[in-house]
Amino acid sequence: MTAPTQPLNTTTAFAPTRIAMVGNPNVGKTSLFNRLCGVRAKTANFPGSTVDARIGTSRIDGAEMEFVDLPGVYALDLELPESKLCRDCLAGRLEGCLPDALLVVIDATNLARGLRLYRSIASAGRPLAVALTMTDLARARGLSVDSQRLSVALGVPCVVANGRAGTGIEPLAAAIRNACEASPQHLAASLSSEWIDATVVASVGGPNSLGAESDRLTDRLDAAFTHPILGGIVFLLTMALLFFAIYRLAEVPMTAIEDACAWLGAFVASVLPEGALRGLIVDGVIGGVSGTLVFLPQICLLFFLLALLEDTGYLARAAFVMDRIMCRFGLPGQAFVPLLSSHACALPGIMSTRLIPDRADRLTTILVAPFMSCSARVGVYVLLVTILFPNSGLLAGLAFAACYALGAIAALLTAALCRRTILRGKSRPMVLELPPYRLPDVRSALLTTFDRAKLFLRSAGTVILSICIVLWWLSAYPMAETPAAAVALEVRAVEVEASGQSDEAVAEIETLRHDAEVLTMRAQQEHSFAGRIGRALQPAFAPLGLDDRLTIAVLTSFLAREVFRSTMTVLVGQGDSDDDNKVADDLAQATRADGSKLFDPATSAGLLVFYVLALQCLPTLAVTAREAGGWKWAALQFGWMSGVAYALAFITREAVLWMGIS
Amino acid sequence: MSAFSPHPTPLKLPLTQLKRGDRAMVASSSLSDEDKATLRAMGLDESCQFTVCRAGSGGPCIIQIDAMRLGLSPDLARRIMTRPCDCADANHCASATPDAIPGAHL
Repeated sequence: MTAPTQPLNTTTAFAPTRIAMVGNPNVGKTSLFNRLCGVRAKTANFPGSTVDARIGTSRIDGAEMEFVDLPGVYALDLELPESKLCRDCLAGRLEGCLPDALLVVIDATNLARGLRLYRSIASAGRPLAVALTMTDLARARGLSVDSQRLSVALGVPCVVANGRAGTGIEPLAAAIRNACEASPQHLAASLSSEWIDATVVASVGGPNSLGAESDRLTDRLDAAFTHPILGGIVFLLTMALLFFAIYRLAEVPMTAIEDACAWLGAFVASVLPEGALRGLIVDGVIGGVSGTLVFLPQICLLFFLLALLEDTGYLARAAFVMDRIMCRFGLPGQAFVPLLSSHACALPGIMSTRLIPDRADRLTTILVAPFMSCSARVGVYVLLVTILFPNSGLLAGLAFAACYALGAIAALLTAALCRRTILRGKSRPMVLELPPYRLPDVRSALLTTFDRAKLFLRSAGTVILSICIVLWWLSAYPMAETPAAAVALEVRAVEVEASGQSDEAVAEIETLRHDAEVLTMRAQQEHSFAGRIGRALQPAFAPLGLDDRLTIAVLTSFLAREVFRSTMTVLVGQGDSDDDNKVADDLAQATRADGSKLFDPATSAGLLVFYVLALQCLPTLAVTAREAGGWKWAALQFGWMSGVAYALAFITREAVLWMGIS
Repeated sequence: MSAFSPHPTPLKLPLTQLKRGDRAMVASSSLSDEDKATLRAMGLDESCQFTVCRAGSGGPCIIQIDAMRLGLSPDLARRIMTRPCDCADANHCASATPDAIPGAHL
């Protein structure tokens, strides 16, 4: 039976022909998409869907074509987000995404399963073409698939193509073009299971030898990678390398971005006259751009390395190794990678939860990922641990390790709680197709990374930039007058400068000007909206032992945790310094109004616990809202983490006081 | 029609109790309809033969159907009852069906 002919693109006469690409997971669909579209692609989200598709354009025989890379599905009728997205796309229920024709990608080593999916797609009655992939793997297994016979049997063009090697792309493009122009002749209604059996038998030939050398190698690798002990060791080594790469290799470009933004800021400051506009551009916009771009290297590295790992086939095995541990806390094995990545930075960690197919699993992982101690916390840990244990490296080291352990434990327990309360329900059973081991496709990995970086800058980046500007405004306005003491110091510096240029005089001038600057910044911090908010909220933080200045420092560090150190050094110390011990000494000497130490052991320990557990990172909230599908999840994450941090910080402080440690 | 000629025995075993290299068919399962539909769509249904590549006692289980490998969590594998088939070569999971044709089990 011939399906009815569908008119090409009924939306506008000049709109490009839209081709939806459908296929099982791991059939090489995205590699084909990348070959067809290259960098002219973007990730598209659809309202109400937790999975996304990629849309790209390609010029074929002079005609503009738009390709939609739909997520891989095993069947259209499953109650899974990716199946629903494909159903909605094929039925034209996705706004602006009605396909004119379909490209079904079928794995030659698993023809029957591909044909079953083809059967359900063909019933949509749209023009079709078939791309037959993995023929190299089929050949390695001694199989030959006759694409011509398959094409005749299906009644649609069928082309052998390999997105990785870039072979068969032009014939495929021509077949797609022909399919769009010709009336569909596919025999959708007649594709019974018997017909599929017969087609497989008719199309597949050659000396079939299931048990090729590649299978023996796969057996050995699987035995090692999924072994309870050896598999765990391999996984930990792999993750350590991944973590090292994200943590260390990203340092160079991160520093370069910060330096470039600092240079640009200094340049603009030297060109523009002093005033509100200069403050907005230099500290607000350029500072905000720096605060956004600085995350890019870690995000790019993580996605590039994950794409390579996924492509090798190892990641699916690693998920299995971790599943037996993670499932005890209601998390899938795939959650381990995002959680580990969050130790470098929660932003790429949260973005990498896209590896997790089940929505509840994914949401749970997003919610708990910021508990893991990220690199931004390290500065605060070092400062507070040094204040707590100034003379014992061993105790300081143990306390440092305990911070990491506390964050991880809080994440796992919160995950278990989530799965028993707000995200209750049966998660998808852990059944994974284990793709064949292969060399990774670097080109595809680079394109995926490029796409993720664009997505981050377009969605989360704009929010982060806005937040940075608002927080800058809160701390810069209203502007405080220069305090009399600072003016006096400046006057004294000018007098010394006039009296001579000896080394002692130069050093004294430098000290006087530094002190004047600290006094001015301190006045600004206290006079600003942020300072006023800090003072207003101080009673709420009093049970944790925080005075006005500590409250302001805690609140300003919501921009980023590392701000805590610079704020505290301005408010109570002698200005920031690269020397951790000097800064810690300065702060350790700071006193309250009653003369007692500001950073007493109880307050310091409570504050340390607070910083381990609190979500003091607005960019993370922006990314959570983006990835989880709404600000309500970000609000829940913020509320829960802040509540847990407050409660445990209070308990810690009270426990230290009760033990009489001073 | 299937290209296999299995000789099923009446014995039913949970998937977790099969050994590496064993060949079997799915006999029944206590899975939800949704899970059954997912497994069927992935290629594991009542009519297909598979080979155990990694036994699932206490850990994940890996089976091979034609050229495809599926990893199953122990919890899932425990709920799938299998009917072991005669096997000519149980030493190597990938060489257990020398004359099989991919997809012909359907």
